[in-house]
Amino acid sequence: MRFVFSCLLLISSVYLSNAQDDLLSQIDQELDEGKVMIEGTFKGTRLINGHSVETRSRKNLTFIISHRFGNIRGGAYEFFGMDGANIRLGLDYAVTDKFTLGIGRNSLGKHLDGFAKYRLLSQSKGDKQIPVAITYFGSAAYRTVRMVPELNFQQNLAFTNQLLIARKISSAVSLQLMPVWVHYNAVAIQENNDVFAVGIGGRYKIGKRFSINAEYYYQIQELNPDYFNALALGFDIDTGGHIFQFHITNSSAMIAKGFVGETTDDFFGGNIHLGFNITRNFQL
Amino acid sequence: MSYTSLIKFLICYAKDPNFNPCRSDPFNGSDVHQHCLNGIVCQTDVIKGAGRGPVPFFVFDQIKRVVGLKAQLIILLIICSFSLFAQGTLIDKNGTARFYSEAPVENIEAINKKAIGAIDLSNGSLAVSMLMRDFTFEKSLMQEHFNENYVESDKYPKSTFKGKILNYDPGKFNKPGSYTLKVSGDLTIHGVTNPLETEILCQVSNESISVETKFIVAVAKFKIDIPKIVFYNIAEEVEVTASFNFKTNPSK
Repeated sequence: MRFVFSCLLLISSVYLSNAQDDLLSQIDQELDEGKVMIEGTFKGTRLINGHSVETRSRKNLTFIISHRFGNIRGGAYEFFGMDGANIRLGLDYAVTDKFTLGIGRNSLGKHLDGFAKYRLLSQSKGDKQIPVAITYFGSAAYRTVRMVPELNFQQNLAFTNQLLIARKISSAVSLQLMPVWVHYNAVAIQENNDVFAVGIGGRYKIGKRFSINAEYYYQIQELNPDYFNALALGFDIDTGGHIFQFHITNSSAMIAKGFVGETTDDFFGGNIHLGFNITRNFQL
Repeated sequence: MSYTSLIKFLICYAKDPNFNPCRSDPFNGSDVHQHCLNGIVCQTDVIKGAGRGPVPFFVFDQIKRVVGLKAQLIILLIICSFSLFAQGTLIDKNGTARFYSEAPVENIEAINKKAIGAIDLSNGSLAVSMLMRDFTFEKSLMQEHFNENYVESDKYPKSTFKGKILNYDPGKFNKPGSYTLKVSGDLTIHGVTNPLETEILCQVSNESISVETKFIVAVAKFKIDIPKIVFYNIAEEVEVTASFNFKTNPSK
């Protein structure tokens, strides 16, 4: 009993000494950060070609216009590839804070694509520490370009399953690992129906609204003939409602099915495309 | 030994320090202890008193055991209450801070309902502290930009104010009514401290003191830069309002 009292006395005397400090330091101790969610691992929902771990919160509608121009080797005559552009127009809608649905139309292969993205885990610190953020990404792409010989509906489909695992290491540096499996319903002879790849990417923030990004998809199995791994380098400018992403890449496609398994240009052979994504966000 | 017998005992002890309970029971007249009238310490009572021999020790022991317990508790309570309220310090942990800026494209408004405020009634000093992450916006992306690009909540998680009521009269808060008082102090946002002078409106009732204030913050003074490239068209001056409600009688 006496021990308990002396303990209480000690505690209260500690309180007493606190009270002698100034008022601000007294209430400052009351502020509890608790579990702090780590936000803004990446500026955009796209890293460059592929997706980032980010999902927008509920009722956000994002309109994304993406271009990948022709081969830079076309020189001045082709205006460094800008005479021929592949375009993807896309709409993403955040159904919940964690769940996003999106659709898009690509000029390359006249693909229609749809995707679902679900945030499985968010990075946090403080009371509850979670080291990484994980998002699942699944998509289906339907090729509508007329082929010879003609292919049926099923043969024109391809599916992507991907895990996006990211960590915001500091306010400036974020890294992302993205294992991906692409399945093509129909492929040419000698090509694989299934392509497995591991993507690695990241960003480095130079200013508050400016970051440099890189993204590389490495195919685990032997590459299909005449195909290359996709590499992209670029930068983001965040202007509030808009995000401008400019980049160079050896991929002409803007959907996983295209850039993971169907990149036909060799980056280091100088077959590079300029490209951009422009994102406009609307909160509905 | 029960309370009543202890009290009886103390009364007797006060009258005659040599009083021995074994000798007699002055309240009940003669009783079982009659046999030890000769001043010999009563064996039964020694056993009952768990070996306490001479009377004075016995008494002090009992005082310590029973009264002392209470006394210690009272002392403890006094100390505790001193530490929290002795200087007349009132704390509100659910204060509200809000800012608003009007801009041609869109108005920006955010609210923080977890601001902590404190007032020391003995000398009129005031303090406010809040986490910048607790500000909520209608647009989630705006909230992210606020934390990431403007106030840098990672580096500077808190905003604070520390000040004093000018010409403070401690008696004022004892009388119900509404008073407008001048406050001067230091406002810290984004790691930058600037002096702030503002007026507070205090409404004193029997149960509580509510404090409200409104002032303008020039964003540039706190090194929060608004780049020209931003399409939001953020105003350079932001109107801040804050309100706290201090319960003067926390038990109610």
